[in-house]
Amino acid sequence: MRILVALDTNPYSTYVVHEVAKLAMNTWADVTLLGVDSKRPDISNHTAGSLRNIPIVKKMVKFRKEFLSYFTDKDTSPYEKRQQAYELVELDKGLWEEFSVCRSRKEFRVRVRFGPPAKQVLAEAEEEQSDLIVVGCSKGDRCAWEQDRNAPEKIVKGAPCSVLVVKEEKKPNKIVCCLDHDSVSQESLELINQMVTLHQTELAIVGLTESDRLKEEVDQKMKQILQYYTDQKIKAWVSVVDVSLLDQFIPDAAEKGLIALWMGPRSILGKFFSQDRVGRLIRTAQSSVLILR
Amino acid sequence: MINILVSVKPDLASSIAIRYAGQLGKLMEIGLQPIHVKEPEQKGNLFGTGWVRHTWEHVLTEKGEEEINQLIRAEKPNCPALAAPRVVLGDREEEILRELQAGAYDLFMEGALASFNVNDFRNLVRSKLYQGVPCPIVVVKNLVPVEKTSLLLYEGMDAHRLIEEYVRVFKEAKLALDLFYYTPENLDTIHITESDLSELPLDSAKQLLEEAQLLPRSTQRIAGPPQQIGEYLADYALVGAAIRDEAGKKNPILTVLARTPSPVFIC
Repeated sequence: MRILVALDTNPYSTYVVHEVAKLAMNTWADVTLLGVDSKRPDISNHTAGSLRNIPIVKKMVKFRKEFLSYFTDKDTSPYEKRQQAYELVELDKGLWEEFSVCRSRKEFRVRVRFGPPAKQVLAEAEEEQSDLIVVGCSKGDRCAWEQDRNAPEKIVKGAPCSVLVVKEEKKPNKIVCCLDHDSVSQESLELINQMVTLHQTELAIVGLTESDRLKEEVDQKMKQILQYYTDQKIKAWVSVVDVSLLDQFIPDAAEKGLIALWMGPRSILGKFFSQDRVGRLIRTAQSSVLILR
Repeated sequence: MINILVSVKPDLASSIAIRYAGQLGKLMEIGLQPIHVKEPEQKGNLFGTGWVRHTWEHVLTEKGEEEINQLIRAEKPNCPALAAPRVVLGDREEEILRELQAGAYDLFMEGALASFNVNDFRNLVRSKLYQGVPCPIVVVKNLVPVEKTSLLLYEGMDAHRLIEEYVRVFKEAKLALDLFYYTPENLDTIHITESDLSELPLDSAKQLLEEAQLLPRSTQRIAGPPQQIGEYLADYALVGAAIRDEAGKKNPILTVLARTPSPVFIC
């Protein structure tokens, strides 16, 4: 799994780094910490050394240390550089040089991008083919980023992969997964599994019904998911919600725990739980939100 | 032996109900008779007459048998007491009532996934089937480990009837029992206080518990929003209440039972 963590210099980003480190301890994911600043520095006035004085760059150094502090055992850390090898690197057209390169079992990168935050995060996710983007947001009634209030919402809407929007300092006591279609990826099931383990929380699987009818394929998929989690020794509650009550249900569920929406290509969530509704949920959620693709 | 009639369809809810019965079967002797009613897609007058109708009915019943046998085969290891299914064609409620009245059943059971819409549960309790069932009912919403049970009492409820039915069905299982006495106070959050069995207006019901050696391990007074109470009771393998006579009224206990994700015992 490749996790892209979108960060800025605000406290919610510090919280996200710690949450992702805990998730990475369980998943051994390839992780990229991406610092984003909307103001582009004047490159002509900067050397690599002076770039280190830019707040986001300074912050990323701190984030790197904080993330790696979860992996202090060098023998077991997937991010410990251990395999030294010589690799040819093209320095200029036709000019190659052999470099001594140290690699870890899993990739861990720290990057910085300048420009509109959501656009930069989405570009990075696209280029790196991330499986999951994790982005923090402020606590309270609104879920926002400082430099672009709606960045979390824009990332969720534009991302080609799953997105976890982490509400600052809000530990979920329940993970509520909504399902309305039968194409659920194994990766998303495992991600939920990890989230449940990480937060030591309860899991609820909610099937969406239309006119009180639960589609046969959704019923069967819920059965498989329930069996999967039962085999993993995870207690999962099952229930149903009619799509006509989604507007009442989602805020109610989001108040208590992390809400996860399986939004596959065939999802009626895409139809009934429109982009506007997703946006509203992201903006107003009282807890973290996970969009699974 | 407790004879249970379980209504089944080829779906998740029925699978959960059978597994729940399987857990009960490890604690007490049960006989579990599944029934599946295949309803004709076209309601009202049945298709054709004579041989044509007979053949059509036969085909529908066979189709229903096929679907259910698959479920029974899959669930049999989880519930050895599961008998061969009875598959009939007709109106679901009427056929189940007919079977319950004809057979000597102690309990009717069915799976129904917990619904966010409280009215779904209200409508279930108000249905002709639930109002006509001659024995207590267990609505299995989730598969909860059968360890502890709870009974929900409130002022004006027939506590004797609830406890009598509970004792009759679950006496052999000797499950841990907690009693909750609900008081309809206007509170923002749930409020629970320890109480003493002798303080509750149980009258003769107390004697039933004593005779069956099923004295509750705790007795508590509970108040607060029905939704929160329902969620609080989530860990119980059974939440019981005598509510069938209250189906038409705006009784908050109905909301509690609708909101709890646990299996519900009603009489």
